[in-house]
Amino acid sequence: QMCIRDRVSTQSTWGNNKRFYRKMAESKFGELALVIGDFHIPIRAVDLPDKFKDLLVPNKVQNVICTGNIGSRETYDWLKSLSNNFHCVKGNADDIPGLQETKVFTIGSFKVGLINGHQIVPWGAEESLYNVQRELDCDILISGYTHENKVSKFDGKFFINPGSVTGAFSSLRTDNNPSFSILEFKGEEITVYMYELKGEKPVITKTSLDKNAK
Amino acid sequence: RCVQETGINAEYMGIVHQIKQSQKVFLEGQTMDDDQEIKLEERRKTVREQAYYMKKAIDTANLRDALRYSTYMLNELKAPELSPKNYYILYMQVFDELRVLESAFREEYRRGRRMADLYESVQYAQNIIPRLYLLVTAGAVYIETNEVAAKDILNDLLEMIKGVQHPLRGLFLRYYFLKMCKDKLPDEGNEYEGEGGTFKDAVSIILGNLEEMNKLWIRMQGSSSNRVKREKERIDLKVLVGENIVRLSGLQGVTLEIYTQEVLPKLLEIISSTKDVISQQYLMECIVTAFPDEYNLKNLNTLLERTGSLNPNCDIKAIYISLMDRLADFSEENKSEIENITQDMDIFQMFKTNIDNIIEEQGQTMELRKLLDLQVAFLNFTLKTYEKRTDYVNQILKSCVVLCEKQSSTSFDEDSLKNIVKLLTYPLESLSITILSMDEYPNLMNYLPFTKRKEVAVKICQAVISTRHPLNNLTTVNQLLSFIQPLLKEEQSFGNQEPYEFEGEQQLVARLVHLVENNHPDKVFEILNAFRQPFEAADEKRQFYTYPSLIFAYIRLARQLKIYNETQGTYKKAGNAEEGGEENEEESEPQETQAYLKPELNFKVVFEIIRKLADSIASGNAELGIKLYLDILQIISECDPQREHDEFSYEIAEAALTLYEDEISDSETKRVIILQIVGVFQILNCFSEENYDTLVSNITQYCSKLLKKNEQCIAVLQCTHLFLNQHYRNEARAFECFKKCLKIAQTCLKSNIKNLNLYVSILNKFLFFLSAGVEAVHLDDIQTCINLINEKIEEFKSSNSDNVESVMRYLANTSTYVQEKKNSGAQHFVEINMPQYLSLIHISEPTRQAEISYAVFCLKKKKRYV
Repeated sequence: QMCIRDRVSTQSTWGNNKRFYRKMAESKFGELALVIGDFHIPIRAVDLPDKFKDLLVPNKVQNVICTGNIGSRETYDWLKSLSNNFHCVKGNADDIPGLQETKVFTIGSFKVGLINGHQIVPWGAEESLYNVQRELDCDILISGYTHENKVSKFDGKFFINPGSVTGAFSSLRTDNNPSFSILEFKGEEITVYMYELKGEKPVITKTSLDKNAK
Repeated sequence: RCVQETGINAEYMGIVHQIKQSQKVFLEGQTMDDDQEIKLEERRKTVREQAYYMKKAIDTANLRDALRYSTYMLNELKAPELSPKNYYILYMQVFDELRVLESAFREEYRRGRRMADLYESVQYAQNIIPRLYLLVTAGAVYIETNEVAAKDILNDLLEMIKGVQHPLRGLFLRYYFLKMCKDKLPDEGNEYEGEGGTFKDAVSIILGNLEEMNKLWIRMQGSSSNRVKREKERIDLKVLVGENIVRLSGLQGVTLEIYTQEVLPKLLEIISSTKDVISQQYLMECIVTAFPDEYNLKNLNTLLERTGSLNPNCDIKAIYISLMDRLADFSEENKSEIENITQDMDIFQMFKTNIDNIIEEQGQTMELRKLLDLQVAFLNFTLKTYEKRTDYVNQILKSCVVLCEKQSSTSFDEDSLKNIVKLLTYPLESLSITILSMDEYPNLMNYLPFTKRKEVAVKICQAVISTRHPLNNLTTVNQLLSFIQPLLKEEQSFGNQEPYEFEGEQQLVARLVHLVENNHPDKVFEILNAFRQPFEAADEKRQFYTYPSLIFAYIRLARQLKIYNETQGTYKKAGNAEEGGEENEEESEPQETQAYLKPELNFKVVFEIIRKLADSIASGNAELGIKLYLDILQIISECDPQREHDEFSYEIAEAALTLYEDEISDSETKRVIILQIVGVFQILNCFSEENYDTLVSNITQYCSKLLKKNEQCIAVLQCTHLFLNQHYRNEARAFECFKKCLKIAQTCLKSNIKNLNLYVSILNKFLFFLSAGVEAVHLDDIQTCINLINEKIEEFKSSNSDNVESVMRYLANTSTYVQEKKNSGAQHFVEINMPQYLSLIHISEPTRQAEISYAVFCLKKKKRYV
């Protein structure tokens, strides 16, 4: 049930954010959303990788979607500065006041459900995620917590987990590569660009999700 | 060169402005200056008047009259009574008027007049000042005609100008000469080269002029009693003299070779021919700024030596600083070039020797602030020129320390302290963590007051973090900790701080521990212990930030140890270690001798440490404490599949639950926390069955005691996972939970139809276990649940509950899900009988096309299936 993942040549888009964003703008890209979460700064991680920081600058994406577990107020403020449309939910380690446990909003023709994921027991299980999707009644369910970046499609619904952007420690996994993703909403289609840092090597995986395709 | 010239011009404009400013000040000022003002105004008036007649004569092509009136005008430049500033103003006015005459000369030449005649005729003017100004003007036009060699005219003019020996008039006349011959000098590649001479002639003409101007300039000082005023006047006129050097640097012919062999030696000769402080200092500065940095870099030794031998009253420091600043910029922009140059010559040593000399000679008399200015510039230069030489930086810091040692505490003014901060923070940008190897660094830091030390400490943390350089060595970490001491300890004398600022600082410290990294768990342990020591000594306010991070660092160590054990098998897992005591040892002993002497490192030791840290957090902040306990339990569970630490884990779990019961009072927090506890416990595998039973029974109890009934129901529902997970399976107890849920739901529903959602949730939980293949899930229960929902659904829909739509959607989605499962032939699902609940979808949000089409799609499929 997983979609086919095709690996895009990594060098062409990586490391040159200007070119990347320009390319996105030129090719009449739809709305972009940054999906990011599980920072855990300073309790579990020192910082975002520099390679990510260079890429994540204000006013490049229309939406910022955060799965929670940010940590410091400083990081939270930085994240908020990236876009005017900022969606964030409360993670198990967050004590930032005013954050909700779940959030549902619309981008393009998609209804997006957002949850940190520590509430989804057993953690990261497909059936439990599916249950939450039913409850939130969304087309895409974005969750974090497991620190495992993952894009999947299940009975016509999309499930996206951006992983941990700092590669923070998780009790669930031993190989924590820092990762985040950028979603492109275009008509009935979503393209997910998953950015992952494997060692020093950055890898982008592109996945296309079509609402109508079965 | 262009840039340099504009630089000088800007300076010149600045001076003009300054003059105008002070003019105003003078106007309001003393009567004597009022007098000056009146005289200046009179002369300006005359100039204006005569210029008017001159221009009128020019208009009628009457050159004779034009020359006559211009002579009257130029006569005003005698002005014996004017101060240099006022003279400057007058000069500028005359200069502008002479431009008109200059073009008139050109016009005459075009009409066919021989320039030689004109050059001759202007010399009939009676007074020397008008005569020479006219001669220079005519000479310039004469050169343009190319009828005569440029060098001949220029030399001729230079010879004649000697006639004016009055310092002020002479300086301005020669300045005029420079301005006029600006583009008439024979230079490599221009039209005056060849017959007109070579650039060497130009060089010697300008050097000759410079020498004379310098003499006049110095003579201005005179033996007047009013020394200070005179000096000020002279400084106001410095650009006049400096113009010569600007001209020189503008010559294309002056290559590095010519500069080194001819120009610079001669310039230095002129400079050292006198002992005049103002002249020496200014000309030296001109050399530094006017010529390309590369030239000066190649001649650095000569320059430095000569600078050193200037009149001791010169501000040599300022010259050095300006030189070093320029060279630093040069180094930054020409990395490869500077590398070659530094291979050939030891620039660092050259500066060092000379700077040390200055400090030696003037250290006692000069203010500390100024000496440090010099060191800051030197450091900046060194960092940019020698990118990797920490030893050089350390040497500079050392001489700063020596410098500071000799000072009394009163000499550390705000500027000096700022300079020390600069000395300490500049190296961080390029050298980052290597500063930790500099033994002079903390010594210099000690001269700062607490706030400034803290400022530096913050910068150090930021630098270490931004490079992400792994902290893999105990010595480095101990150094680092001693460097950032101001952040680790409460300072009594230090007043209140903004909370966010304190938070930021402590979070920086906390982040450092995540940089600890070493392939050897032993080493990591040592380093973390080194961090722990100052953290433990700190106050609770700091521990709130530092402990959680440290706990996670130890948790990572435990995982590393586990992997190490699995791959190497060299560590004993046995828990017979002596606890405590060892963390202080490595402080005193050098790291090398201990390299492979392992302290007893095992899980037990690490877990004990973590627990101790968590305990002290828990006593101050229950919520954070519980979360940390949960994290600890997870790592124990990961490292200890044999459940060797069962009792220890139990104690921690008990502590967490006790905290929950005793300390958490807010009902919402209670709900959030207990659900997190449930979430964690369903993956734990570190308890004996008996202990696990006790614990999860308690947890289920807590769930059923939440404030709101519906919250109880949802929480207890989650508890089913405590009894049905990969480590523990007790279906009977799981079903007790379900029963309890249904019971609560029933009560809830009675009080409010709104609570129908609980049944939908319960139904979905049933379905989850059904799809997970849990045999004990009874289809009857599921069907009962569905039937109950069916019974109540109309009542619910017609109620005014705010959750109608969301629950109906959940329900519709659930039925679609069941249908999907049925379609794919999932076991047991086929027997479930559940309506579609599609009707509601049409009621709300008709815009959501996709949803409908999907639902319709299912419907179609169902038909086919049937």
